[in-house]
Amino acid sequence: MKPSPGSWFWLFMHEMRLSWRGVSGSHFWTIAILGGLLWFFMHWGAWVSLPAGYPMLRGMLAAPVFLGGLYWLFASLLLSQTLVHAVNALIVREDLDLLLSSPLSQRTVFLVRGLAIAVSASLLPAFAALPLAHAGLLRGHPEFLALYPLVAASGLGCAAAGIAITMTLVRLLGARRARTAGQVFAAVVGALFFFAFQIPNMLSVPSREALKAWLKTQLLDNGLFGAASPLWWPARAGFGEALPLLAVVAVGAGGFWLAVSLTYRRFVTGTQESLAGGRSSAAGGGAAAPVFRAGLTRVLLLKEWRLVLRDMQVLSQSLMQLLYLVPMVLIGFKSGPKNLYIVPVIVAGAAMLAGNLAWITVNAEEAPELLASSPVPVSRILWIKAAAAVLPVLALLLPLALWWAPRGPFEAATLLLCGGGGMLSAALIQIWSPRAGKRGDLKNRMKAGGPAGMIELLSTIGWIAAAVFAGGRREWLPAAACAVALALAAAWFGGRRARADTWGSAAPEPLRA
Amino acid sequence: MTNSHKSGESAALAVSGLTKSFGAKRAVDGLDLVIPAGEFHALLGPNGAGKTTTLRMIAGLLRPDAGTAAVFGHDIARGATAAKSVTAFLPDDPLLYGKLTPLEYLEFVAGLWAVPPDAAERRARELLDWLELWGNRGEYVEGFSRGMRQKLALAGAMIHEPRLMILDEPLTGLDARAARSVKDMLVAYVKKGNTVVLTTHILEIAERLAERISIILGGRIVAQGSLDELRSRTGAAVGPAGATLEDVFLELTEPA
Repeated sequence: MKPSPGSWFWLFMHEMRLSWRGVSGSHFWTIAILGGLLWFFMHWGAWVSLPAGYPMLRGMLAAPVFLGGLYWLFASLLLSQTLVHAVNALIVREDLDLLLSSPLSQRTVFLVRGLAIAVSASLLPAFAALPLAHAGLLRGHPEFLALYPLVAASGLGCAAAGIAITMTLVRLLGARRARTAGQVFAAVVGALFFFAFQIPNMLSVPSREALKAWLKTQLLDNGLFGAASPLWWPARAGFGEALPLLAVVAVGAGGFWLAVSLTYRRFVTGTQESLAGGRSSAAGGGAAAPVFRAGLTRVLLLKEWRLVLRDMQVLSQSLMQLLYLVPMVLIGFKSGPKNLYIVPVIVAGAAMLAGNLAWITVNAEEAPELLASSPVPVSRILWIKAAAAVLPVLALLLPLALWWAPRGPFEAATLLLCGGGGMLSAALIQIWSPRAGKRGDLKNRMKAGGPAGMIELLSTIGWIAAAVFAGGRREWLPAAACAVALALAAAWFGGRRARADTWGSAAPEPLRA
Repeated sequence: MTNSHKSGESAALAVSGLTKSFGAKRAVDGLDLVIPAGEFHALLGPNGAGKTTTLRMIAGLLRPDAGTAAVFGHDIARGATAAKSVTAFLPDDPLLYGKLTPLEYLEFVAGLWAVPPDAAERRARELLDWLELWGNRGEYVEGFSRGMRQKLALAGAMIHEPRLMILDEPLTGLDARAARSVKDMLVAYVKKGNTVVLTTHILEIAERLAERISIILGGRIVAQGSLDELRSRTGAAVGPAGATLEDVFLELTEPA
């Protein structure tokens, strides 16, 4: 039976249809069949392992730090997801105008949108957890059915938090900035546990010991992380314990109700006005008297850097990737400058950042027709764009190499050679194998960028391997060189058609097929 | 209008046998067109007639399959740099940089055409003033309306004072006031001896501004001349003032 048009369920089904189409694209049956098969095997695995695993799981509940910690790890990832969904649902998607101008009540619109956020984010946890509930029911452990309300409450709670954070950011920063801030926030939340686990490694020995001692006291029964702590109630709720389950459901559902009730009224007066409202002003006195610069190289470099620095989305996505490398680099430096294993990490970071910037400057050009209709040869423009991508990375790499040179000349030279090679190769691959994209697609450029993504990966692996083999096993260096050469050759020969297609009649002569 | 300018120089645009196909579809089919310097020329035709493809080939954005085009004697294939140096192309939906201010955008465009900074600054101020964008000079373009973007793109096209302007639907999205200021600007620009070639679906603009009109159909020019010449060619006579351009256009582009 079809839901009646205009009802909340009808709108909810509409939202679900949109979400599903966004995920599955044209591969509906492939995803459905593969997902179904995987889920079947997960059920089978749970069924087989439950008799032996159940006592162990029960035992872990006596000291629930592991299970509870695991829950909060997934909850933080879930929150990161709901935050992204909330930013999309409330700021990016443009259908709220249509919905809010319809006779549907605003409360229904926001309730459904919130539910859609919760469901979208909960799908993966449900996919992972529910086989255990079903296997538990068949094996005589019906308490695992509590995973159903646990997953639902977690989804609702995280959706509530996502909506509340998004709306707060909108109020504080305005809709445009909130969009980027929300995405950065989501990335930071998603990486929170990773950074938390790195903290002890970065501390000095006395500080680490002090942290250990404090944690020990907090792990006692009445401590913050003790077995009876409400922090671990979600883990207990998963085993069907009544009070924790009730509390988790109350917090999740109550938080969701509160978030929807509080935000839908403010949306029209806050977010909508912010979205429809004024223009974004340039920072730093953009209205001041103009000072025009001379020279193509200068103005083109300036334009590329301005666009990167002002695009918080691009900046955050690039820097977030680097952020994951920071703990490893710090640990490496703590263990002395002769420690060569951090060189490959830095090489990877340099190549990745240069690749991102080159993709933005070369492939995500916003006004290609302007450049193509200008009297400047495209090849010259491309080289300047490559420089715009490489120079900032070089500016980061060079001081590091200079600092390192007196302490470990060989390591510094390796860093400079492999890091410089990695970033140059990444930029060349973007030029030789172009594929036009939008700046917002940076995050998915490796997946959506066609063969260039794989080629760049191969080149980066080649340079990382070269940095690894330089420290020992030098007989393997030719293999690393081959990987880089293969990648560059693939970009050059494989990209001939793409170059002609991308740059059309303006394709630089040496690059034309 | 400076007629001496027209007669004394090579054609602003000379197109011969220009051909372009996309797969099996021939978008432009051996098109010939000569536009003297200092002329305001309108290129009219129904949707899909080949107007935009023709303009994009002239601007160097598409490579012709056959034929030649020359801007002030500079072949667009062999002398692309020289041809582009004196040309500006404004596409129907110009893409601008959302995170640049109008002044930064104009600085960049001036850099592409190697306009000296002092002259570029002065010209940028004049153009933004004229197009009523000076008050928005400190704002990012991403917040601009369609009309404001169109005006800024036009300013970008004019900052290097091109001798030939190729405009694809330049008045799309402009309000009446903005459209008037753009039309005035283009007329003044042609009066200085420069050349404008534009496509438009607003026939009133072509009727009022263009000295000569080319009607393109199926990738070929099917009629060319002043409005009076086109009227006499079709023999259409409607109303006391004779046929309007709309009558002429509809008759010439009527499906066979």
